[in-house]
Amino acid sequence: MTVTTQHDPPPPTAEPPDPGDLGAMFDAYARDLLRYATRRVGEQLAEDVVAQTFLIAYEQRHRFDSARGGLLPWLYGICGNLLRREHRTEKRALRATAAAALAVTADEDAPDARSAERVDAQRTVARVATALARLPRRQREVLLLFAVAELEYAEIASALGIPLGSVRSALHRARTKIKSALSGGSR
Amino acid sequence: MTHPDPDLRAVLDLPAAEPTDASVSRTWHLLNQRHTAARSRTPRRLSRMLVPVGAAALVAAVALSAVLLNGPGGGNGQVGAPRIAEVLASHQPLPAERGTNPKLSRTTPEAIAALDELAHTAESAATVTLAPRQLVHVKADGWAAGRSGEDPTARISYQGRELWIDPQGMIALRVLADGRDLAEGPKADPQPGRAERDDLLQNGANLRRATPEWLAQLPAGDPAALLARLRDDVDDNEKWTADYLVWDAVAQLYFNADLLLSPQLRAGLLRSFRGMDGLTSGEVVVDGWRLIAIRQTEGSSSTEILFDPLTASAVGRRDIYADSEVTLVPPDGGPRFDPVVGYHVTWTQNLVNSVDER
Repeated sequence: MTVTTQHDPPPPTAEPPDPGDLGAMFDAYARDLLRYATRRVGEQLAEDVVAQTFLIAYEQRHRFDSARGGLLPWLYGICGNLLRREHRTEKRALRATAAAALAVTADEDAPDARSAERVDAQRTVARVATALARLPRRQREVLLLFAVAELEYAEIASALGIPLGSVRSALHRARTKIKSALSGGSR
Repeated sequence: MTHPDPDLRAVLDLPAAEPTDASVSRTWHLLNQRHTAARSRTPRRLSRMLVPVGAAALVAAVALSAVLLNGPGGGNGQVGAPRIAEVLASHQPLPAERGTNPKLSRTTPEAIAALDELAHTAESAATVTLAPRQLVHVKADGWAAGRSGEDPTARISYQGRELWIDPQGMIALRVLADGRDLAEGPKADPQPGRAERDDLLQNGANLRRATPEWLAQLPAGDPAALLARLRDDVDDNEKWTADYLVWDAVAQLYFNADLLLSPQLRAGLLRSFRGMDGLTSGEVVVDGWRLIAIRQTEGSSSTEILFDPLTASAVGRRDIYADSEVTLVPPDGGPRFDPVVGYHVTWTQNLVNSVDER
């Protein structure tokens, strides 16, 4: 936590930055995009992807149309396109998360309630990570944009360039599979 | 994160760390490098570039002066900005000889001598005793570059930070940024530090998630073995060498918990660094406070850790970008830095019993 070039995000009422102002755009949204990308592909790759996201956004700023959606969903769209190239890394990371969680549970004898809770939590992590890795790419993108990036349906549609109905159905299917995994199912 | 639904909550609960300030900074400088490179490929814009800056590899005495600020809340209008009147920096050239890793230069004899001297001092340094549940309070005075649009200049601004670090995993429980609590507001995490604790639970203590117990079991008396342990704890990747990653992680460890290091470990770490590649030495003097700067360089990026020669404690960090073509503009009344210094911070630490104590 020693180094930063960014100022804190503007309050929610602040005007969105101009896409021609690279510094302001970065200040406002870098941390959101890094949080999202780091979850998907880890810190090192996320930095690379997010830097490239802002560069592309800046170079293609004339293509941004505020009437079709906000600046942040547009940035998530660019970021998502770049992350798509890294889908193998993402899946590997999710499988590794699941394996690590299972390894912890294997080491636990669960002699008391607290240990049992910890084992349960690790099993949940393993199930959810496995379910996420198995999701079709589009469903995983929609789910993570909703859960992690906290975008609305319309914003996800704008980010991915897909109809609103497709967002709803992809999210429904993804959540159904995660719920099933949580309940111990294997869908 | 505000989703109440168990399935969404479960997705959010998967281990994942929040982006650190260091990660944001690296991303910003990566973006700047690419942006500059893209602009240099556009002949029409070449005339708009400012004077290139390539002085990092030269011995340079840089006299930096500024008008005294008016103290907290005054002067340049930045809350809590410290009074810095003068910064003097000098650093030896980067040698041409390659190190054990040919991607990096050879560590210089001067850097090795400086590390030896610091290690000798460290052996007689004072120790602190950490009581159960105590936290490390870190107060950091940072100055960082920020840039808008195609502006060929980057404005330096003050960034004051206060952190309350749980030494069990070096987890920030509370962060004040320029006086504002980052744990407040609509995106506040209701369980701060939970992801980091999960990470600690899953992966155990390591260089990036140290604990006092982990620090105590390091082979402090065997510099080669200690460096090997540190290198084992960073992930190799195509982008950076292990020594760059070790140096970055060690800088973070010092920032979080320098005062928890025993004299033996403090000395052992300094001796272990002698086996790294890419180190050079220099001095930074802040208002007469002389500090030893040990710099690790990879490509055009360098990170300095600043040591107080009287205690061998790490008290600061500077990030340096040798190929930057951006001109840094000091704030009104603020310090003027060497043109290649993108970030400069010094810190102080003390032990506290809660996140409400200083």
